[in-house]
Amino acid sequence: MNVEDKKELNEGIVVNVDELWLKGKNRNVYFKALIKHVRETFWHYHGPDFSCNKEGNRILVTTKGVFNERVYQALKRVAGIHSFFYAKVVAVDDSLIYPAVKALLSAKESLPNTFKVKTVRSFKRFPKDSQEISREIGGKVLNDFSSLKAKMVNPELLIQINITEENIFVSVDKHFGMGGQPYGTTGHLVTLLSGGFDSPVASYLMAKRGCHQTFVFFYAYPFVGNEVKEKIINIASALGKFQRETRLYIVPFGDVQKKISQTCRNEYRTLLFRKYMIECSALLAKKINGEALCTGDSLAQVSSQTMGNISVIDSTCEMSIFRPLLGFNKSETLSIAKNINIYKLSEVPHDDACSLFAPKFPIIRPDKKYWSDFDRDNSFKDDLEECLSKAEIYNISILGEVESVTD
Amino acid sequence: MSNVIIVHFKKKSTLFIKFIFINFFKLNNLDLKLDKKGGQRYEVERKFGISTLCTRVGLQMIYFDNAASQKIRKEALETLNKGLKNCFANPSAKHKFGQSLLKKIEDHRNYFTKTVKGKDLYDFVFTSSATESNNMALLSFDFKEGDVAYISSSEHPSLIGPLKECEKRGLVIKELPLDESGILDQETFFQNLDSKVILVALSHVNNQSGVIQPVEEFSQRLKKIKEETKIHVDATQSFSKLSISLFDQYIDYMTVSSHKLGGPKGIAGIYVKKGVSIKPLLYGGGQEKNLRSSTQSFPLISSFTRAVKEGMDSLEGEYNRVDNIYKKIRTTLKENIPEVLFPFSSSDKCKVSPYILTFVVPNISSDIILRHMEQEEIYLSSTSACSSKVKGENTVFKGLGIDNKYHKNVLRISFSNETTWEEGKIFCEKLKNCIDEMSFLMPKKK
Repeated sequence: MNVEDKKELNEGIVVNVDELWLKGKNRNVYFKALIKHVRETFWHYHGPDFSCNKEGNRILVTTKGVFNERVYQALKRVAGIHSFFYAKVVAVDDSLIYPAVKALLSAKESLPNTFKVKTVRSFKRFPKDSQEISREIGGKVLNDFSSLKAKMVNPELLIQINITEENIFVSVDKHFGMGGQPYGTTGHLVTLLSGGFDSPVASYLMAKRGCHQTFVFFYAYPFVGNEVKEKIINIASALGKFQRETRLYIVPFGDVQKKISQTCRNEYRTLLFRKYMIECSALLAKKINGEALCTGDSLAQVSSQTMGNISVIDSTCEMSIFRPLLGFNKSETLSIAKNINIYKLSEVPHDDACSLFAPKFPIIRPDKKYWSDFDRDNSFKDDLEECLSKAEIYNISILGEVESVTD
Repeated sequence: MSNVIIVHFKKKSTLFIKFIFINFFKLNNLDLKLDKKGGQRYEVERKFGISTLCTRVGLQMIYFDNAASQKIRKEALETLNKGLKNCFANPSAKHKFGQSLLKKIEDHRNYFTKTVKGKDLYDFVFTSSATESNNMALLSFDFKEGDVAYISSSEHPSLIGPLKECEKRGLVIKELPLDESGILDQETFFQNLDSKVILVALSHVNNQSGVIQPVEEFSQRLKKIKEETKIHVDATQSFSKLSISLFDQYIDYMTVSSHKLGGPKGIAGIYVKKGVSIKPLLYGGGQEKNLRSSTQSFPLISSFTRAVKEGMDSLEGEYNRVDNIYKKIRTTLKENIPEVLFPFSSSDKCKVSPYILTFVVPNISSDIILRHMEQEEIYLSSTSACSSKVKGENTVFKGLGIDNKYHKNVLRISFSNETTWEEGKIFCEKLKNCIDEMSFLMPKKK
């Protein structure tokens, strides 16, 4: 294969992996998972015409066609990607760098005013040093593109040259991914969604940490209506895009809530609803091999999220409960919600059964004895099993398409 | 309808198990229908310990949402079926098959004008819906910039919508005043009547309150003062249930709809006084005397006519029968649930259609009651699609004079020729149970 051919073939999206330096011998596992997710992303958002391979410590995706904007957006939802850019990949040869830069700049629809060339050389035996290459390429760019001016601080256009042992990557734009761990490498969570802002953000944070998640929503029909269900499906669809494939369980919970209300002391209602939602989710997790639960609790945000209340709930739950938002202020949660396009979906007003049932003075410091007695004297296991068996199940694809599994 | 249980056996289940199961139901005088598809699991499943999925279908449905849409009458369904099966030609066709249908459509049209004593005085145009009819009239009448149209904010959106469109072209919209009982306040109206009045649009029976507006008397009075004013009446909720006459020609446009009186959906009509301006919404083949281009649906038209005939022929008897049920339900509700309020009542001044009963259950969201009742296969209307978290008022309720604090508590039940007092009794009982349960679950918050 001559040099010309190789240059022609190798251009595409270069994906940098996040937190790779933390990994030791298990690097390959992470690469495999990430490549799988990246492949699936391209398959669905681009089409079958591409190839995706490991290229040193990076992933290179090439196509004969053109990558569209949707792919770029979708890559920002792939956990474990530090950054990605459209690049030309050439052999480790000094003379091939500038033609690549020129081709990339000429392909751009419009050029900004200022630029800078940045060279990173991980292949230290390359004959020229970084400064030298930057200067040389910069000079040629100034020569050929008269509208561009060099600017070292905050340039509008950054020309990047990465020299590795195997290849040289040349790119003129860079996008940051969401970072974190590749999808599916850290375990299977059952995430409780509520329809507010917190739980979707919690789910996002856990997706970032590479968790495969199954969503569960407790549907308090007939106390709330269909519009809540639709809202949840929309939210789950948006969150599903962060995963390869996921499921949403909509569990009919109105009758259980009614039964709990009739059994317990008024001020414990909301807290006990939570307890049994958690318990039901744990039951579900056992059935589908979930390893932990995830909720959007933020410490002391509402009365059921006081330290006392969180601890009693944990005291009667066998499974670990992840609460990634414990230390978040509402404003921090909301700003993430806006970033991940959840805000508009969660903003839609809806009825909330918990507030309908809410007592005038909900419990803040629960009586541990009452709690353990209640847990001992009442078993809702059959009811929980029953409502789980009646759950509506939806598959959610990487594109966010929702498809009912139950009929 | 008797109780029917649909059973879905798992593939493994043996004939013997099926045999025992079927016999159990026979012994208990229950009908059994075997079906391949299962849905909701039923208690029986556990009680038997058999691998079955059961669906409960047989709860007798109580449909009290006839003002939204009524079940098609038996006779109308027959006519529709026959029409769909046999009368499929295009009525605009040249051949005798098509021509015979066109002739029949003209007969039906004549029936419509005759039945309101408007023969030779009014044209009748078949349309697809009451909304279309209202739009056709309200986008047709001539006005100059600054002319005034009166409409109550309690009216149906299909009346308000087209007028809002006219507002963009310079029409001024003023509120048609209602008094506290929901009836047209004629004194206030005539005292403050704008001299530039060009149109008044109102429903004969308001779909939410059921109040019967004295359209004939009002139109007469208005025409005596200002003859050129156009009057549009929406008779969707009253046609073939209450008598109305167009003989005096005070009304210029009148809308009627098929599915609110036991006819099929997708067909309606409008009366237009001869000589009054009317423009088509659809252009094309020139059907319906150039007023509504589209292939006429003979099956729908004939079925619609049939339903109207059935209603008209038994109008008075049905009115009294339904009135009787209405009164009984009202009394029983008040006895069972003392806190229930009725915002609209018949009095000397005001009459309310017995086909529509609106009531308020304070403190309990109407949507929650609606969903509890639907679990029992009882259907009613709560009208507020908005969520309890949305602070805002319902303009229709406001227009009808219902206190803001009750806007989320308004329920409507509406009756038809099929409604029985038996159903009413069950309804009252179930509603009481539902409200008792809710009051326990949802303590009042102050």
